[in-house]
Amino acid sequence: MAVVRERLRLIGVDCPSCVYSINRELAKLGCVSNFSVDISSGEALIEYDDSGCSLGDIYKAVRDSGYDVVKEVAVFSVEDLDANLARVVEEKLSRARGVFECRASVSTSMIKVIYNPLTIAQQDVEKILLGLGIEFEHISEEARSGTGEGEHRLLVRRLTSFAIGLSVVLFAILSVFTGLHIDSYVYFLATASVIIIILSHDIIFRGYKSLLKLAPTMDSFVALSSTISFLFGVLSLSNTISLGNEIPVSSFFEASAGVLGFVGLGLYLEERVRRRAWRDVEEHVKRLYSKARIVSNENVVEVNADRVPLGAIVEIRAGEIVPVDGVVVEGEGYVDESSFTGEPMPIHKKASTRDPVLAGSKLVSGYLRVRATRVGNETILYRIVETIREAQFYKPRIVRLADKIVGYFTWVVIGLGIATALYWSIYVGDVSKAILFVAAVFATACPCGIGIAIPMAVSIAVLATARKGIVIRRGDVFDRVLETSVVLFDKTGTLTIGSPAVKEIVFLDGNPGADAILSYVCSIESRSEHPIAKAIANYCNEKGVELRQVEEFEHFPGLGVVGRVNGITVAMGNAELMDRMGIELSNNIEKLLKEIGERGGTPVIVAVEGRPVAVIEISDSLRPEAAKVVSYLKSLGLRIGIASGDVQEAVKHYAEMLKIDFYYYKLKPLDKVDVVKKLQLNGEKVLYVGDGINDAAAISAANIGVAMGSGADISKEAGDVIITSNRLTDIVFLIEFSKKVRRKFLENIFWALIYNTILLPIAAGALYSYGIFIKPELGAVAMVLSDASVVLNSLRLLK
Amino acid sequence: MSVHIDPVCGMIVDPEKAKYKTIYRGKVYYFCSRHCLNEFEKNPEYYITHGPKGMPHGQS
Repeated sequence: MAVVRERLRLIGVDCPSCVYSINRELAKLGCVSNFSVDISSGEALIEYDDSGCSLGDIYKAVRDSGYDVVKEVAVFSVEDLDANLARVVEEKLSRARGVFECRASVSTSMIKVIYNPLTIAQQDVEKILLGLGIEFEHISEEARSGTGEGEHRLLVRRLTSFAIGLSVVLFAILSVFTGLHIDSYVYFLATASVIIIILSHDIIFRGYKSLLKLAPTMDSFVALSSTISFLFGVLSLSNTISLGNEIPVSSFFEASAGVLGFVGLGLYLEERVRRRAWRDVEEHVKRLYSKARIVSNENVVEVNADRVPLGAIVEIRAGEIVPVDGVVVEGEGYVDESSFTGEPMPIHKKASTRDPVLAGSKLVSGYLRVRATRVGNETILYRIVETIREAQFYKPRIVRLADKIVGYFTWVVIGLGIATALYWSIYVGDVSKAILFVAAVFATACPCGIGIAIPMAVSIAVLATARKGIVIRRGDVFDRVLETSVVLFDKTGTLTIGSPAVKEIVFLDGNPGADAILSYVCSIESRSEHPIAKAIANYCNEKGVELRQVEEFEHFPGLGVVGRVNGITVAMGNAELMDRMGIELSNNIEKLLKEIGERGGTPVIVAVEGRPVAVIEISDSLRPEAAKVVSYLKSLGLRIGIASGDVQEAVKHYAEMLKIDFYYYKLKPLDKVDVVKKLQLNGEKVLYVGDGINDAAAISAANIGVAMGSGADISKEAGDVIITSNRLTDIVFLIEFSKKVRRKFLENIFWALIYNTILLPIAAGALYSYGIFIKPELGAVAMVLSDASVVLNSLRLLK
Repeated sequence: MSVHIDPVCGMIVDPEKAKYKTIYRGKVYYFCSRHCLNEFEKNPEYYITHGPKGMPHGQS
């Protein structure tokens, strides 16, 4: 136990009451012994007991109170970061001097450190990582934004090589089937191969690199097969070696061009999806950060939201998106924070308590002046976007299983190639046969058969699910879905419909009668724009309640409404409004209010002429299909949980109703990430289903993230799976369909393996003494047919 | 039109246009500004019994 002194520079502090609200958050930690701030400079000195809390807790407390500290961020990429190492890194770094926060992500293999530049520098962070024996690479800011010109050129390269590869293969197939060999085309093919090899040099380089590391991937085989056949092609074309007339030289070039061209297309499609997804996120953020109006001496200047100086006062009118993070210094209003909390009910914010507001939330009604404490890429919204961005940064392991199988397969084929060459050239002493058979082995054993077995099934499956309104963003989803052990649901908008509605109206006594009360209620609420009022107005519409002339109407933010209909005063709102009206609530009513609260609903009391006459229960309601989906998931032996930003009562209510195994409540977006990570550390594979920006980070962190389609655009960009149909039952479909796809994987691999085990020995000349052997060109045809069978088998998924 | 007086500063307030208002003991009070409303919320009884006192200054 030791008292630590840390110097911080606070952002946005301008008055003693700001310091007070930070102090209030710090006091909750119970470990801060001294906190002094120089308001003019924002310099703060804090003394805390490091056995009670960490600098990270203090950092969080300051941010929670709506302010911020000056800080710097360093991001490192680490190869093979597993859950255990991630935990060690997070623990060590979070406790290190001057570190505000450290997050290590297994799914992206990234470590992100936020630190206090007044205390430490990036080199200090790197030293700690080195001390842990971790090899890392620092990723600069530009690299993280990662949509440079280079990537665009890459796309053009991939598309060009595919176009050339396709035409080469089409030509070659045509010539095989028609028996036409036009010699001059060989030069065209050779040129084509050269172009493709140059265009795909990165794949070839990567392939050999992993081969040298003795961990061959699909790239390795693509590289080997294409370069070896190309080499033979060149050698025979230049008459360095003579292969006789048995093998047309063109098939060597065709093999190398075709293989590289097709692999190029696969990479192109993958990159396109990623690039487009990222562009959408950027655009979404830009929209949110449009313009901000800065108020100084009653002059209003409009600037770009990310250019607002810290500490400036920004005005926000009703209906506008809040452009910066900050604290309310003037005015009041209802702010829709559903992007962050998922809860659709706007929250009342006012200056007297210096309530914090977040960029990206929306001022539904009222008028606010906000002191900016975080702008541009410092805002909470941006941090969430950044988490998603980091998820996009790593290379998706679309063909992990294929890679593994192809890895073994590559060794077998390489071994077979060498054995064939040695056997025929040394043992038999026939060099030309040796080359013929080696070429045959490589032509026949094109990796496509196995290489496309999974990708093909996946692409067809992606197509098939897309037709059902399920968009699959990463190819290994089908495989990983089946590894799931825990399903975590967001509550509002995912398990529930997500918008408040009238659930029940309890009339307290017969006077003046339900019809009359309804008529008063509906007439008055038709004047209000509050979401609760809208829920009531919808109910009135459905019931066809007749509206009367409203003579007076007053809306009291945070309390309710008071109005006059037919000369009768009607008040509707919460218990505080009744208290201020001098209306007493009986024990029965109090009990009813409590019950509604426990069910997670919001009660609205109706008083006519100073007498409570009815209580309206407003609440969100469960999706009709939720129970069915949960019981299906349980029948698979999965554990089901809820991770919600809502209050305990509401979450508990739904958890009990659906017989959910465990639940978490009052979670902020990044708390949800922690829940996911905690489960992952216990070895669980988490499937997270959510909507809204508040779920986006958790969706990224989960093993499988599913975004429901009604949600904010950003969370959709985060998901591995997007359910655009907004049907929860599609989760059931996804799992069932994944089983089918896995079966298809295995079938495809099985057939590809059978094909290779039968044909490869023949290609190597094993049956030559019986007069049976495979010419490389026929090997190539067999390869094409085996590919076709894989495609056809996969196509059956579309049924 | 009914005439309403800001209970804190004594200004005449048009309820149709008033942005700041509150309800206390069943009666609606209108204010010329946020300052007055804040002042009233701090101690409503005082203003109801003593009447308007003039503009509050320097409060936030």
